[in-house]
Amino acid sequence: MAADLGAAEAALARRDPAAEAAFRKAFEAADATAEQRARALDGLVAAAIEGGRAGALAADLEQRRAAAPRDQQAALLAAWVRSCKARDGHLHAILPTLEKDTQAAAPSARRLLQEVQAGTAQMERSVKRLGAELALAAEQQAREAARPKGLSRLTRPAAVPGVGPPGRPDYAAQVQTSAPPPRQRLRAPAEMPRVPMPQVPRARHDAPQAVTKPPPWPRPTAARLAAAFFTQAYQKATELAGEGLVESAKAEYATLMQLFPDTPQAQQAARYALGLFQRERVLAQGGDPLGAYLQWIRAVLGPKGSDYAEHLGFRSLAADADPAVLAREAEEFVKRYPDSKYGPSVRLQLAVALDRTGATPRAIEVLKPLVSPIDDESRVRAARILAWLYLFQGEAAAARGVLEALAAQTADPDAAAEARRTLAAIAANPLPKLTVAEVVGAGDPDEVFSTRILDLADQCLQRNDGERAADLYELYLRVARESQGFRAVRDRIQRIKRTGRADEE
Amino acid sequence: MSTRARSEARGSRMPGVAFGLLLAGVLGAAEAPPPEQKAPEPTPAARAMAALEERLAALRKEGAGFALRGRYEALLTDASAAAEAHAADPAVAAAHLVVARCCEALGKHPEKEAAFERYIDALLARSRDEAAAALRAESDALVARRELFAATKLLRLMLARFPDGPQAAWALYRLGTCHLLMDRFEDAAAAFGEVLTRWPEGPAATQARLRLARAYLAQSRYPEAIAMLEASLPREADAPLRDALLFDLAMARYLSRDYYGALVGFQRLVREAPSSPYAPIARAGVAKLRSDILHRLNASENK
Repeated sequence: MAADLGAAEAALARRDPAAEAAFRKAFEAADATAEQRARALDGLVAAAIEGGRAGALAADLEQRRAAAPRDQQAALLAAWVRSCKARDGHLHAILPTLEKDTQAAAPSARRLLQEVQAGTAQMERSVKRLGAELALAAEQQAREAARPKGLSRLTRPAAVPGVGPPGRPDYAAQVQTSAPPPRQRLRAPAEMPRVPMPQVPRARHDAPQAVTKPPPWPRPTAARLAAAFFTQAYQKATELAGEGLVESAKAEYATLMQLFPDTPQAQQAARYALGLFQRERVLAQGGDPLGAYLQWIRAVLGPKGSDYAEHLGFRSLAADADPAVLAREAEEFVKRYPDSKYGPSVRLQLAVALDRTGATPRAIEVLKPLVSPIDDESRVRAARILAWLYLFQGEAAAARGVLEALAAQTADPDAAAEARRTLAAIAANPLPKLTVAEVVGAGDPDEVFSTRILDLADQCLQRNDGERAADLYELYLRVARESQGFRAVRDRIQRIKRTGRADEE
Repeated sequence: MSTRARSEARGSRMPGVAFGLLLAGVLGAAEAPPPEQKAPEPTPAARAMAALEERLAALRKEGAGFALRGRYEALLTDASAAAEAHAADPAVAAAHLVVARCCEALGKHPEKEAAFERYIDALLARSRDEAAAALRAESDALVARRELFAATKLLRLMLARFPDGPQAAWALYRLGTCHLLMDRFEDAAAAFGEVLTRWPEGPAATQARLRLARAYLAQSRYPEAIAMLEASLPREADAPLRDALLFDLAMARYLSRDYYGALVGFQRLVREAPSSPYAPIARAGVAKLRSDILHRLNASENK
């Protein structure tokens, strides 16, 4: 049995469609232990989700649960919940069924269900309760306003003192007619007495005090719930990721983010999910991890989204992203979250990506709004990038304007000093203007630069100009980036220096 | 021996000498081709030297293995005896050279250096040009074999024998390049600096400037490298190696993180020497500068 399970897990790791059948067979084996059944069920769910058959599996598991013995109910229930989650993308639809099915379950299971229910439905119930309270208060106010003014039953003196308490009131309707008292005739004096008006201090119109609203989250119970759920999700996701089931691990984090979208735990889950994407990037050596992560996070969080979670992706995955993809995604971010506090940093990345795709004028247009005024760190950085973009465009006058503004407005002494140094250098050595096509090459600039130096050095060596070749080799070693190819070239250069020959003999 | 007799003797032993010099890597130092005249009778000294050279050539053709040590020892003894016997004859230089080569094959390097010094002195008595050519060829051969310590000793010998003039400039420059190969950057900078001080317009000056820049950059002495390269830039647009100097200047500024200076330097190179082999590198350098600067500014945002 253990061997069957191992083979099935290996097939799942290979994404072999036969994995699902193997897990199903292991689960249905008569001699399987509870632990092996649980493993088989986990694998079955993962394989079905991988194959896009979560809906069919959910229906199958529901049928099995009806006929399964009591000791298998817990594992089947958990698997069913996961498959329903994969099918629907959320847990709301299955909560009523869960509630019904766990009536007779253990108290701990019932408590967990109640907590989940509280987490999902708390907001709705709170809104309903608040509405009901407001309606009641409004009704009471209206009743008070409609009550006739005068003595109440309690404050009215007894009709006949000493007779005793009045009997029970008769609730039969009695029509009473009450005539208003006769009006007294008042004669107005010829001259009204002058009564000094009381000196009332004039009310001053103070500015309304800022009311600090309590943060909507965390509420005590919800915070505990989110923390508990996060711990479970983290453990499960770590376990799944360790087994290579990265998509299932991501799904754990996605569930948490959907249930508790505005919590610190959701932010932490986004960070961990991002870590899974980074790990995939390292293993796959390529692809488009930034686009994949952003697509995933937008699918998980829906139209509302989370600027924090998306900003995490830009911060961690932008360095290796394709500039065109980065520019596209950054523009999407700016459109989705125009007022985000992460907007300036994403705009900087957008500008750099646009410049790398050759759209330097657009990059300049993106940066221009960020540099007036230049009063915080992001704007200082935007000003420096803008000045350099102007310099690379050969527009020294525009660069000078930005640098002068930077030197005058920033409170950062280092940035101001650097701006002044660059201004002095521009004044001392005017920049020769070149067309952009001459200076923008294709390919990775680092690679192109170091490869051209190396090629020229090799040509010098072939022309028996060994000394100049050595000069250029030294420069190559200083500017080339560390890589596998670099190490081979470095060894060759060392050999040439040591033996005077490029070959190994 | 008269001049005529000496030239006759030289003419008669020329094939052997040339072969020996070829083997020693000093073909460039060989004399001019023998005049087409009737070869006079060689002197006994010349005959002895020719015989020694023939034996040496035959031995070196067989190699320098352990089995041949006895024959090298025998040749060394004979050559030493011949050198003593014909000490006053100008042809004795060949005997000293045979001794030097035998010592080299036997691994007796101090003896080889002493014999080579005697060989140079003997050549000097005959012709300074021959001596200079032999020294140049021998030092080049040593550098090619990366026997750099021996090469520096030989170059110091050359400096001692030729304290001034183009030979001294060449020896000092070559000494500097040996120090560069040995990663002795201070010594290299001193040697190149002396070349530039004493022969600022000499034929080796521009090369010395490029090597001095390399020595400074290796020691991260960027301001000195930049100042030296700026001062040495020729004004003529078609001056030799001007593009290399411009390129090294831009690179020195880049390495010193003077990015604006590097940008100006690369663009100047592209504008002033568009057909130079350094121009494509300069274009790529501008692109790399752009990438580096924007990456640096953007990366610090993400910290």
